[in-house]
Amino acid sequence: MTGAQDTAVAERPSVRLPGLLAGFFVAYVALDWVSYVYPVAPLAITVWNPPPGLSLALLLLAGLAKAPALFVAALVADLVVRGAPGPAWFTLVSAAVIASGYTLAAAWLLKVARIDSALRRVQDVAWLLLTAVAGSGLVAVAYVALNVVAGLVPREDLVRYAIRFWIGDAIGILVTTPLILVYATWGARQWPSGPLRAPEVLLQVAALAAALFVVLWWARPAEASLFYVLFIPVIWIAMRHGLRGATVAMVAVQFVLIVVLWARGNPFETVLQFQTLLLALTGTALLVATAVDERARSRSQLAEREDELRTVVETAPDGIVTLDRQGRVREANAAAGAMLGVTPDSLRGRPLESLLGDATRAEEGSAKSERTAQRADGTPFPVEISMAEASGSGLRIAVLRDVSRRRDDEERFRRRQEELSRALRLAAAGEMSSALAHELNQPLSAIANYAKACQLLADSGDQARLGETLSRMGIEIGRASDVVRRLRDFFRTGAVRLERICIADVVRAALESSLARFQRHGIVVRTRIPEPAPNVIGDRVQLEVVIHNLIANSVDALGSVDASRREVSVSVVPRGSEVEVVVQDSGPGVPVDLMAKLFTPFVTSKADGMGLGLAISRYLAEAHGGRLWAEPLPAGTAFRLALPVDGGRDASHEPA
Amino acid sequence: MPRTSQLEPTVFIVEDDEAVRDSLALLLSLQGMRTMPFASAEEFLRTWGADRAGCVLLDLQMKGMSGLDLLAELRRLGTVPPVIVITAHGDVSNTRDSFKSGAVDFFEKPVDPDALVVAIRRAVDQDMERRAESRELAAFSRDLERLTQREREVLELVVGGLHNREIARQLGISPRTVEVYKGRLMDKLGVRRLPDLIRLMLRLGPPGTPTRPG
Repeated sequence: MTGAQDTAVAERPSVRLPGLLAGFFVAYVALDWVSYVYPVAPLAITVWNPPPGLSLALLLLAGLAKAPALFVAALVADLVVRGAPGPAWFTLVSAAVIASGYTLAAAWLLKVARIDSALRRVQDVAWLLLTAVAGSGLVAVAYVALNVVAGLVPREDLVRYAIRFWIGDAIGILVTTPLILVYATWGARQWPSGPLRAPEVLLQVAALAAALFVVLWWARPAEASLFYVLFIPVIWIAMRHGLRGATVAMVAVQFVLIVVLWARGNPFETVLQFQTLLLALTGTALLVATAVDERARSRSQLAEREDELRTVVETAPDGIVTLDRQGRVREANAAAGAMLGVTPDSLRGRPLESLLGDATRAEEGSAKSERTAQRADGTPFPVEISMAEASGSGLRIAVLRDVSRRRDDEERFRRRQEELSRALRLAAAGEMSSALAHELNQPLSAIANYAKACQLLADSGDQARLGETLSRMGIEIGRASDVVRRLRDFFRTGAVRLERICIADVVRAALESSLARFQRHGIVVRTRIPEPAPNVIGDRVQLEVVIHNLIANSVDALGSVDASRREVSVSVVPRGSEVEVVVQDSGPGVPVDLMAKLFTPFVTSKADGMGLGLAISRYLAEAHGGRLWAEPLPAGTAFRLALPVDGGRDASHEPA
Repeated sequence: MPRTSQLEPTVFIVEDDEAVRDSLALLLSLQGMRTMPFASAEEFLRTWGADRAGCVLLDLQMKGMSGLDLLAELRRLGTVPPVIVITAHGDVSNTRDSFKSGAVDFFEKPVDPDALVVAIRRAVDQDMERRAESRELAAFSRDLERLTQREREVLELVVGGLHNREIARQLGISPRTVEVYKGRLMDKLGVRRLPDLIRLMLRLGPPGTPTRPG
């Protein structure tokens, strides 16, 4: 194809063009001179005219841009071989007719028929045959008509001479062009039938010589009656060697025919008859040879593809087994053998069913199923089987996958999830205990003080105050144990202690515990809490932890913001059966890539954070039947905590 | 609040949790201390004056003005009493902030009452000592005003560590005369021994530093 030509041109740059053209001119003139036999002297009308074949090959290989060379070559040849017998205008016009005629033929082949110049497909040769015959016919008519006009040929000889010219050019092209094309693109071709074997080639040469002998000498002289004998060695050569043989054989036959007929002085009519038969032989031989080449090439491609597929199958990590109609193994790959602990060959002929237990069955209508197979040592393992059927042949293919590893992975994943959720609960409890520490420490401090006071009072014998102090201490002990019980409950089960609480109180408590933080960072806090605010059912401390967390996040988000623009707003927004607590900041916002995994544990943008705060907060929100999510704002981020409202809209609507 | 005697040391309890405040007040009063409880930093600031002797028990986490804010405000007022911080969150940053703000002691809740009482006594003593010292310094600096020019010159050279003979040469007088000036100025300042004189002068700071009124 063109690609191959391009490569060839690229391999031999600049020097090649003048060399090519010079070679072309020399060959053109030489061929014209050699083939100037049986001419309609002094005209360029002969029974064998290879120069057009040379021209066509040049254009097909080097491109249509070389067309002027055809004109020059025709002029030079006419001058050198025949001494330019006609008037000057005739010489010029006839060279132009011949050059443009074959340029058109080449253009048709390259641009319209789009043939491959290496003649790799049968269609390429078929187009070449057709174009050679039709093109040379047209050129013949035009050229002879020109001669008639010039008065060089009598009008009544027009048809006779045109046929003579036609046959001569057509056979010239068919013998010359394929030979040049095939051997010029030798490097770009793959020869299918392997290296030539000398004995066979010698036999073929002998057969060809014998056939020529029969055709030329055994038959009555001057008759082509036994010409068909030539088909035998020529077709043989074409079948065995493709185009590389057929083209050479045809050149040889042509050469011998012309030389012998000319030397014997056979009449022109006999030569024309031979040439016509040779045209048929050449066409047949070329088509057969190309078909042979093409088939051989596709066979080698097929073999390559098969090799490729075999490699894929053999190196596949899954076991692949082909089955016949009875479900017996035809072929098994290495992985299948390794999986079942046997050699792949020993599986051949055994029914697949006998290799697999049927512990787990597939669901109806699925090509996949899971079965239990046994390794060589008898250990059972789970195997996933996918069945496929080749359309037409009825061949079935089973893909076996050892899923024991995957089972382990699934188990491990599930266990890790469990661990994570437990860790999350523990972390949440940790967070809670730090929130509860303050609450627990207050009563403990008071208790310690009261106890010491009681000691002093007992020493002084002040019974009245001692009793009073003891009862105050009792109250504080109750307060402390209450806190401890809630924490313990949460540690143990993750359960929430439900009570009816006003969401406004929780928000205010969280705000109060964050006041120091706000002040330290110079943050302006805006709150919007409707009066009355809805009640929710939940654990006051846990909800406070969530809201406190959200506020703490907002404060952290403002670290990089100019001190005059640090703002946190906390609002309570009733929304149907839910109430939302919205905490928003005027910070730089959450990076997009972090937004999606904001609530994933251990994902954090803070250098000192564990990345648990939001994960815990969401965990707690969901434990309350609520939701927690983040929304990007034009400037900053809003975190929304939605909680189900207890029954009515607010406390005042509750039945007393 | 009724104004109490300014010199009698008082423990000012600033704590928003009622039970803790009440129990602390009870315990300390049983130990024989005067206490004044406040439910918030704001309430405390309303009655606070530099003449209040004693110490402050301060909770860090309070609604409204926090304990650290109160410490900062006291520093701004220039009258820092000994402050003992009590907090439920004894983390590093709280501790550091408290000490940087001038707290003398730091307790994490729940507090051991005995340790707290010891700390309070120490703080109160420290306050009393400081107040006594500042009174002494005030008297001393008043006495300094009464020295003559020549007596002041002699005093400065004495404090500068010079011997009588060197002082005499510098001032162009006889060593005997120096001895006379020295005796006179020590009389005026009510100081017996030379080391006491130097100690007081150093406390007062370099010459020209305004002294603090008692």
